[in-house]
Amino acid sequence: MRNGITFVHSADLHMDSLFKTKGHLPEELLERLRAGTFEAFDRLIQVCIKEEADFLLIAGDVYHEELRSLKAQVHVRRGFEKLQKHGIDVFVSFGNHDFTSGTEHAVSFPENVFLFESERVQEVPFYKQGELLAHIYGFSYETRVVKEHKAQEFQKTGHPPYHIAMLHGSLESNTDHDVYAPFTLEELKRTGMDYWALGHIHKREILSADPLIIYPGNTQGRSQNEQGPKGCYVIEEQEGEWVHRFQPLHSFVYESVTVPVPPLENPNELERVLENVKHHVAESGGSVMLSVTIEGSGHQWKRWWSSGVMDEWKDIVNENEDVTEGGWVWIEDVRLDERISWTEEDLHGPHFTGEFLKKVNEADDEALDSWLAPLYDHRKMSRFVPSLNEKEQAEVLEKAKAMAVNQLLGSGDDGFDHT
Amino acid sequence: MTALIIHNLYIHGFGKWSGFSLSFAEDRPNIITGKNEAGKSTLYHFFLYMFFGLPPKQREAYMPKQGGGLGGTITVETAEAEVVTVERFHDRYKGQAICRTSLGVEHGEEWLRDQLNGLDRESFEAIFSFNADDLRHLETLSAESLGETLLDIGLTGSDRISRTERWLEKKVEERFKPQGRKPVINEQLHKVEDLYKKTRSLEKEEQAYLHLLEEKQQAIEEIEASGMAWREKTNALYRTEQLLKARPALVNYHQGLEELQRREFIVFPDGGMERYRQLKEKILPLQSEKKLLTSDVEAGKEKLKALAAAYQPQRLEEAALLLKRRPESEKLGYEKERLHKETEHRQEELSKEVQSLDIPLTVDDLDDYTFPFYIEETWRELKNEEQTLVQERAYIHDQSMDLEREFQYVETKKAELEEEMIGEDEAAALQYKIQEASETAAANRATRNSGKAGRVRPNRAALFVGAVAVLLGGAAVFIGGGSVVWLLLGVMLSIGLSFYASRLPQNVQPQISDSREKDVERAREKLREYETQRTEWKHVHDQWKQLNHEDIRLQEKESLAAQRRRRLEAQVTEQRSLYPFLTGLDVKHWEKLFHKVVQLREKRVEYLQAVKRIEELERKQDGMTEDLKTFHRRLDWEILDHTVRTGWNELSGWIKQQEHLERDVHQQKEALEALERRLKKITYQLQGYLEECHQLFGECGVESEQDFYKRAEEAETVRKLQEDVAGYQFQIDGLLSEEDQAHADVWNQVPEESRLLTDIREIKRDIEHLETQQSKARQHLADIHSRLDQMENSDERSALTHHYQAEKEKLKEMAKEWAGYQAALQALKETKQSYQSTYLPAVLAAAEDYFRTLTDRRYESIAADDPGRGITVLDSEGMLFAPGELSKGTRDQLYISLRLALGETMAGQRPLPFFMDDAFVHFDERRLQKMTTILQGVSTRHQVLFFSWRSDLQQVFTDANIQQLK
Repeated sequence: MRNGITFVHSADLHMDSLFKTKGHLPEELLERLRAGTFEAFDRLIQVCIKEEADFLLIAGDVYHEELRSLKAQVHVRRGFEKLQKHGIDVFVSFGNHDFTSGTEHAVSFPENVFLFESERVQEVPFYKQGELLAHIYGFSYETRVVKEHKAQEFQKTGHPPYHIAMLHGSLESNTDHDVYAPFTLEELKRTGMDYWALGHIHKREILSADPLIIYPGNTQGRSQNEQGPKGCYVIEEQEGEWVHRFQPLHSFVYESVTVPVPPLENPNELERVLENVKHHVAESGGSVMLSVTIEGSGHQWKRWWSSGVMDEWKDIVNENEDVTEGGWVWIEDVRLDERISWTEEDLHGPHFTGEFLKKVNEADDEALDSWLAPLYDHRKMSRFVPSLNEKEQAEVLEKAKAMAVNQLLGSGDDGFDHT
Repeated sequence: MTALIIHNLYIHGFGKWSGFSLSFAEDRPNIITGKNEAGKSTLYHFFLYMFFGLPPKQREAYMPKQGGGLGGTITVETAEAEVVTVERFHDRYKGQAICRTSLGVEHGEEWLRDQLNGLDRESFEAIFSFNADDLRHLETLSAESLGETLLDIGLTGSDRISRTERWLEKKVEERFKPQGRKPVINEQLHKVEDLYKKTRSLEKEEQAYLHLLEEKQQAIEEIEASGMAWREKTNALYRTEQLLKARPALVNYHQGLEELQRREFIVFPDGGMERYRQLKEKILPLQSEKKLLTSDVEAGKEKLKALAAAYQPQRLEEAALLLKRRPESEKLGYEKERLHKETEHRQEELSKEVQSLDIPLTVDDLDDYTFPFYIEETWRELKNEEQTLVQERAYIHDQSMDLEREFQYVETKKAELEEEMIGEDEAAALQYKIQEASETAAANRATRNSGKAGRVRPNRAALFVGAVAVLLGGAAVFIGGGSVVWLLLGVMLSIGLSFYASRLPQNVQPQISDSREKDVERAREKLREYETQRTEWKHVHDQWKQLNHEDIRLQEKESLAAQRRRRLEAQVTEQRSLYPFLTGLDVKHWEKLFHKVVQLREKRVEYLQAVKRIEELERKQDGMTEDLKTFHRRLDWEILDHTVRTGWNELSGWIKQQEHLERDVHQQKEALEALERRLKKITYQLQGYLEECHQLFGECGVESEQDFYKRAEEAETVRKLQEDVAGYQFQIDGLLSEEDQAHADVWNQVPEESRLLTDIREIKRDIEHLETQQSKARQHLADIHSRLDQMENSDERSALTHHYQAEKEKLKEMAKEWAGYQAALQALKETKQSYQSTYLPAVLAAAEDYFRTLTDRRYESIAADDPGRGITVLDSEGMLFAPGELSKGTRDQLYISLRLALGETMAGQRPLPFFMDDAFVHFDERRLQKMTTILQGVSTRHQVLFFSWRSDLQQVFTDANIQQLK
């Protein structure tokens, strides 16, 4: 008697992982963020129970290396215990963020959990009602980095109805991320596995429909780099028909919007603009960490931005947001479209300002490094504050230009038009 | 000319001026002189107003004193050599400038700004206008500040750069100082560091989780170990305490054992006393019973003797036999009596019956007559014969009567027919006639007629057969004992049928038709009638013949019947002679009488037999009575004259008495035997018990009962001791386990009490110690549990780390903000430096030129090399002077030189007019002369507008456009 198979595929839980925050966030919001990965995990457990899954697959990065907190471990254990009560097995492999030679796993898991602990690919039989239903193949990272092609090590054994493989790694061709355990689609397909449960890439993607090769993505976005709904996949097979269903697990999403704004006379009007944006985003119903990019002309944008007026209005708009209830929208960041730049022609004439702009524009990494050395090379500071990346450097220079020119041209130092 | 040139102006109204116009020279200095309050300054501000406009408030100061609108026009020639009229009125175009070219093209404010190098009013003033007051700062200037002031003045027309720099510096320092604590970033850093340390310590604490798990395991093991030790000690305590409890029993046990050992060995069987008691219990009743039985036997024997004397068994048998005949004798008596009565009754009945016959017959006659077996039959036949004869006589009579009637009928009928009938001849004629007619007629008819005749004949035959059958049937019935009627009926029926049958053929006669045929038909008719009559006549004739026959037969029968009667009468007479009582009695009653007589005869025989039986019975009875009397005599009883019945009764009474005696004797004998058997048994039993008793004594080695008791007492004491010892042993067993017994060697020694007490104290102390230890370990385990639990449920590390992360992010943000300010500051500084290094030497070189000229080469050069020090000048003799060391006039000259140099150097691609105000206050005539030369030189490059109160200037400036203001 064979009645198909149902399982849940997730990866990159990064339990208790930290969030990249911008600006000052209230305590309650920080709490919401912090709870995010835990809540997502709880939902994952609920999904397994609701779907009456045969088992749950977690393809690496259960924990985040920075913080494999006991809380996270205990939380995970309790979740698994809940699954145990419902007779659902769990197969866990560890990835580059929770490699096995890292922090010791203090908390042990219940018996329904199988941990792939070796870097050698292993197969584990799964029995349903006493009958062998599937072989689950997988391995864990023993060290932070695995550079080998692991696909060849996945060899089908025995003749269970299903062969399911778990792999934490990335496509060889993917250059956006550090390439770990690289593979090509061809390699995976050649193994003849029925399903490939991938992990590592936080953006979900279905690499292949036959056989299904899926990145479920992570379960909760943690910065603007991880936008949109996050969750897991529910996989079902019935008489040769493989069905995959994305199941969101996130507590809130990261989102960015670009709004075209006509020239404004007064920065006070920013409040309305931001409120509108917020209102629009809030219509989707879920909680959102929002990044707003303003698109428009007029040099006052630069002025308001550089002087921090825009941030002040952002703070004012955020002040009214109640993040303890669901469906909140928090404007994390207001930035300017890159097209808004200095009409430096405005600045011809006074040679010094021109010279200054030229100076800033010509500033190279070295120059900037030397300018910023007092802080960024400061012994203590450098422990906590990393060097600026390219984008940040550009941002800093842009801000420097704006502020200095404002001052040199005597537009006042607060950015507010007092006339 | 590529510079901007002001050709003329017209003031519509501005301050004191209205409707005022002036023209300006292009390439020589324009000098405007006038005393104080002459309106030089207003004129200067009019130019600025025209170029840059004025905020409305400031305009108020220049509203025309004589009224009218504020405003005016200036005509300029642009760098591109285009002449443009610039018009600005307070009340037109919102005070905006309108620039009209000669071609009529209009430009606005922005175009104007472009013409002015994009400078604003401040910058313009800073570069292109200077006055005596500016020179006052010169004395305090360091080289650096000079440079900067010059930059300020030269580049932005104010000190904006340094203000900006200072602002940036403030911003930077507010945020961060590498060594500071106060700035916000330093504070934030401190905070982050703190948080970091805390997270580290929490992290370590969590790492201690594993250690804690181990500790937990250890604690559990420790608790188990101490628990085990505690159980052991508790067991030991229990053992020792039990030993202490068992000690009295042990003491007694050992004492008892010693006592037993002291005792001699006593032979006394187990349960001997009990055995003896039981024997005694059995012997005593047996002995008394034996005595009783012996006396009973004696008494029984006496009684038996007495009974045996009266008992006569041999006579009893005889009497019993005799008595057995009594019922028979009595039965005989009864029978005799009954028979006697019966015979009397019968005699009487018989005579009555004989009389009732009423025939000449007596009872005694019955004995005389014999009635052989055939008599009855004979008498019956006689009776039947007589009856038959009577009937036959009647029958014959009837028959003869019938015959007579029939004769008459037949003869009549015959006579009638003979009369009606035609003669035979006539019939033959008719026959012939028909025959003739028929022969001519169809032969076929003959066939048909023959067919018809053939068909009828069998029918007729059948009817005859039926008639015969009926007749036979009737005869058969008659013969079979039926009445004559049946026979007659049969005869008549058969006659009827025969008659009918004979008539049948008449129906089928051939027919003759036609007129001729009518004769034939008639003949035929007649013939047919003749034939019918003839047939009938024949039939009647036959009947007549038959009747004749019958009459003859009847006469025969009559004679036969008379013959039989005679025979009958002879026989009757014979019988009457044999049995006279038949005389006078009709024969038909004889048979019945026979039966009666026979019955009476039988009754008579029975009577005679009964009389015989009575006689026999009397004989038998008499025999028995004689036997009884004989027996009486033999017993010598008094033969009294009483009835046989009394004799029988006496006999029966005696027998009963003897039987009673016999039973008594028997019973007595049996009782005696039983007693004797019992006595024998008891004696035997008693013997056994006595022997057993003897044996018991033997076993104990005693002779007498007294000795036995004594010995028993001694044995009892020993037994009790043993029992005590065993009891103690049992007690000890109950208190101490086998192991404990072995351990303390209790069966060989008694443990000392003091030692036991000491042991108990020590063990108790140990237990107490263990308990304390265990409770401590438990507490420790509980602590570990609660710590583990706390750690597992603690949100602290996560919360703190996230907090740390947020603060770190904040620090990063702040650093980034700082970086903006810092970058701006550093860029500004570098720009300044490069700016200075690019432009300052040129400015200085030009200034040196002017200064040298002005000072007649007394001073050779101006230096600003050392940023730490002020500007220095070097005189022709190589002496260095700080500006302060120079004379006031020289200082002014230095300033003018620098100012001109700056203006010229920084003027940019569009040289604008220089506006100077009383710049040469302190110049002496010679130097003023030099100055005019310089200004005239400058004028070739820039238009120069010079405002002065000095009236002597027109003598000094040889080639200048000098205009005097009133």
